Amino acid sequence: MIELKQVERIYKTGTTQNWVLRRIDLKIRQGEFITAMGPSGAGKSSLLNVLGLLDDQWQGEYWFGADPVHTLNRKQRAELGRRNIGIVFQSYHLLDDLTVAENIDLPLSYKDIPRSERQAMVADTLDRFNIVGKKDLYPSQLSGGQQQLVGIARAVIHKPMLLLADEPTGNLHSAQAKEIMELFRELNQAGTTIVQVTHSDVNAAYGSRVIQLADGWLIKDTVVTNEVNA
Amino acid sequence: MNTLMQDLRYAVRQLRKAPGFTLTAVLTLALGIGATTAIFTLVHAVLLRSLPVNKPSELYKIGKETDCCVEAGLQGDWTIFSYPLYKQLRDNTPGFSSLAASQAGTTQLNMRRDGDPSAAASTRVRFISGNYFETFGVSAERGRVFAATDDTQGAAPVAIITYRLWQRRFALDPGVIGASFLFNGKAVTVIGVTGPEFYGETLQPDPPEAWMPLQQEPVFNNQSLFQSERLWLQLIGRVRPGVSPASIEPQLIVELQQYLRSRSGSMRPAEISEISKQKTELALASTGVNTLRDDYNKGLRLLMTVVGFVLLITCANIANLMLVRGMARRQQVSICVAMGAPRSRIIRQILTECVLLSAIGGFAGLAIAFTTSRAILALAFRGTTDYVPVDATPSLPVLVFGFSLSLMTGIVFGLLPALITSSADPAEALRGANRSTRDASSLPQKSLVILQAALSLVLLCGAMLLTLSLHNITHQSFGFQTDSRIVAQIAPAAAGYTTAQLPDLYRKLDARLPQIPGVETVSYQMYSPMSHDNWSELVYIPGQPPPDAKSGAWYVASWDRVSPDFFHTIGARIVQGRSISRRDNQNTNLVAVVNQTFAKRHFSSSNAVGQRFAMEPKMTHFFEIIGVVEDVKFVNPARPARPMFFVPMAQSMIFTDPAEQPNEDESHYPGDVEVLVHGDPNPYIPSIRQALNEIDPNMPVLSIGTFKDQLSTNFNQQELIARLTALFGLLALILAAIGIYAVTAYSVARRTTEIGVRMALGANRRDVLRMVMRGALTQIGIGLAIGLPASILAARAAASQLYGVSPYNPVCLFGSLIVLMAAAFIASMLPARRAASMEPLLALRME
Repeated sequence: MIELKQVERIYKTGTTQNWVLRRIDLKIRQGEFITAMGPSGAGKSSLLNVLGLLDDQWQGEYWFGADPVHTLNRKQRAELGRRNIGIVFQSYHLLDDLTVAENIDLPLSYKDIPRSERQAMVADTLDRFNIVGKKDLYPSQLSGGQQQLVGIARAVIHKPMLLLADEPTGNLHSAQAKEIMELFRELNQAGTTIVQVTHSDVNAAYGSRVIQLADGWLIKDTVVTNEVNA
Repeated sequence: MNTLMQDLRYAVRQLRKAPGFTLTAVLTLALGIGATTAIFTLVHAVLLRSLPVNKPSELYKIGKETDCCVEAGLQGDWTIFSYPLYKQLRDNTPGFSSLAASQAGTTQLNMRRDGDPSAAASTRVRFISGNYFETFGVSAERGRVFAATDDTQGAAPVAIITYRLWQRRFALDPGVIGASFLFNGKAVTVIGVTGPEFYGETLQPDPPEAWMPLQQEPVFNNQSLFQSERLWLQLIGRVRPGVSPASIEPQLIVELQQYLRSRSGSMRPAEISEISKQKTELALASTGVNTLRDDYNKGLRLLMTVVGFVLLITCANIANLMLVRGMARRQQVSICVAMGAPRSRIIRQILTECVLLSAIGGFAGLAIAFTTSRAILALAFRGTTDYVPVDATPSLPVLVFGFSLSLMTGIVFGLLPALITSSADPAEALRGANRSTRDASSLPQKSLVILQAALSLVLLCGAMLLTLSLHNITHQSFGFQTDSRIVAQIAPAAAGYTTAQLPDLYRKLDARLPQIPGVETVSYQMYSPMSHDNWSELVYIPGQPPPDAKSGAWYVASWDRVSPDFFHTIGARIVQGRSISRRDNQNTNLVAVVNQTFAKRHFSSSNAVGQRFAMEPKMTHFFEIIGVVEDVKFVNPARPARPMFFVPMAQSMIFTDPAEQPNEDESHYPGDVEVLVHGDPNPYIPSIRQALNEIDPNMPVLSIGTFKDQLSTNFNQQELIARLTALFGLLALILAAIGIYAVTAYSVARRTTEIGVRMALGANRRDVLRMVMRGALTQIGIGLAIGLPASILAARAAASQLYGVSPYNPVCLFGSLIVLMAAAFIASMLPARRAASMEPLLALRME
């Protein structure tokens, strides 16, 4: 589904250059649940940003299905991302002035979907994530786990092919983290390809494959054998 | 004290740390405080400043209004008095410790040092009572002031000059005091010089340059007013300590009526019946007789309101900037709170910073005020005068005003940010970015932008209305032409001309001036249009009831005495009959040309030409109307022309009432000479001045300039108000735009993460642009919705300052709306574009 060929990302600081991603070759197949791991500064989040089309200052080739992302302009990349990718943030990034329902509706509001259809999709998602009772609450009225639940609901409402998650449980305690990871697995089992960044071996165990990064290099790519049982 | 110093040091450090913010805030404050202080300087100097005399609060003027210069007959509400009446009031009103009289107006006399061969200089002299300086408690800078003995019959002729005259004409020569001077050729000893600040009892353009005792008036006036019943004196008295001024007023009315009854022998029966209705009022005169106050009161109040708005916008702007700063420092404040700082301490710290900021802005503002108030003064009195005794230099009250204003501004704009910033919840703020907190300053910020937009609209709309009004008033049809015309103001009386000598002067003017190559026609008249002069008289029309107390105003007409080519020279059109010609002289019947308003008012149903009117009730002499001239504006450019008639310079009449004769004689002294030339008039000025000098080197030429310039001086106040309001409107627009920009930019900065999230979730750049613009323009929209009715209300309140433009003028209303919308659009577009061009990755990383 995704193929990166010799992808590099450089940050320029004054006269010096810092490589955060170096000659990354990576293939992601439909339905995989990949975990990117590595120490701080290894390039995990940078890789996620490239995959999520949030960053377009990289070099190399990026194929998203049949689409050569590296040849697309900014607008085409944004459109591709809008259709196919969902993102879950470590800090949830819910908008404080919007209710839970409005937050979930946000990605749909940027698409040409009729209001009634959007409302139906939001209602479905609220029901699916079991948060109907909280639809009119504001983020500040929710716990961290509940906020992240809303963050995931928002990320998947438009049924993306690829779900990216940057340390989705980084701010949660273990019980909440477990719930979230269970949810990811459900989504994966339902067909969504997931790429997560985490420091947690427990979280990594929910995935099907782990890639290790260090100093921008992809140094190891292993298949998970001891997956957490459902 | 220690804490205060600590707060102050901290505030200085904070301001130094943010030079961009400090500079913007100081500049904004300087403009706001500077504009307000500049206008207050003028308000204080013109409306509020007490006379520079001893205990001004004890001074009272008899008669509330001010009048100039010579009147006759019953006044109803008396403000101007004859010398015999003055004596009566002075000697019979024990409530006054001293009652002084001064001439209402000045007399132009040629002054030359005895034995000095250089040409005499025209000097404005005011005749005053011997107790004048004693009443005001004023002493001389040099020499002495008048004593009561100087104002007695047979006393040696003496004069006192002003410090300004002493300085400008005699270079502070101490030899002037005690020296003999020739005033119109008559020897007078200068016995003293008044203090530099003293300008007399009347705050007016061109105040007197010298004073002489009333007893000397007949020496310099062929038609002396001194012992006559004509009214030419203003009276100001010092109320005795312990006496209530209210108790004096009834005494004065009784004395006035008693005096009039004692003179009833020379009155008509209708007048005698009116005596019991004659009254006068006592008015506080601590600011003197203030003709400037009367002229500029409304205008200055309007300007003060306008700058008040500007200051409010300034406060709103700085408050917004402080809110932005406060939110940026929220974490810092939270740490202080976590460390145990009480809320009051944080409020005080922020207020200290605000007051320090406003103090710096205040100082800069005072500098602006003192620079600009001179320029404003120059604009206000441009071209009209030789000198205005209004001082624009710093005075204690202005400094106190400026300082208080700065302090108040600091507290006003600092309080809200201080309260909001100090209410930061330490736990919330220190928790960091994972759970963003609500921005408590958002609503006040938006409210301030709404307030700024509303106030700016009011100012802009007002500025547009006043500018349009100025255009209308200056481009109206005045009934005369100004192109290629020159006006010279002359003073034959100052050169000692008697009425018998005047025909010779006319001949010389008629002969010499047309000899200048390029001169088409010449006229001379009592006064020319829009020269700040007006004579009016009651007219009596055969077949119509005589004017009485009720119908008096209907029969009042302005009049002018003019030479044959007057109408052609000023460019006025004769619409019926003929103009005054050289054949209208002393040997022919009295004739007059009337204006259309006169003709319409008194002869509406018939042809005015051939009709007759008289200038006295007994109607022994009639003026036959020989022509009707189109309405020419002579006095107030904002009002329709008054009914007016013009009579020939070469004709005169003998009044049956001898009291009227001096006026008639005086009217034959030409005050203005007007010359019509070919092309640009400016090059002709030197040759006209030279020709007038040749005609009589002793006759002062008080001024000479183009007719256009003379006309333009009539719009000084309108121009001052329109220009300043436009300037303040522009300032308000800029401040409002800065405010909108600051709030939008802050909002964008605060919402960086949100914008990043939105973009990560699919928002494109247009969505972001639209979102930011919508936020900014909604505030402006609300502001304009409030500002629109407020503008209409403000315009209605200022309607008296408008000419030919309705307070509801849609062009101004919607014009200012569009200008403000455009400014708001540009101001919010810049941060909106920045937001739209944000990289989502960077936006998210900023967390």
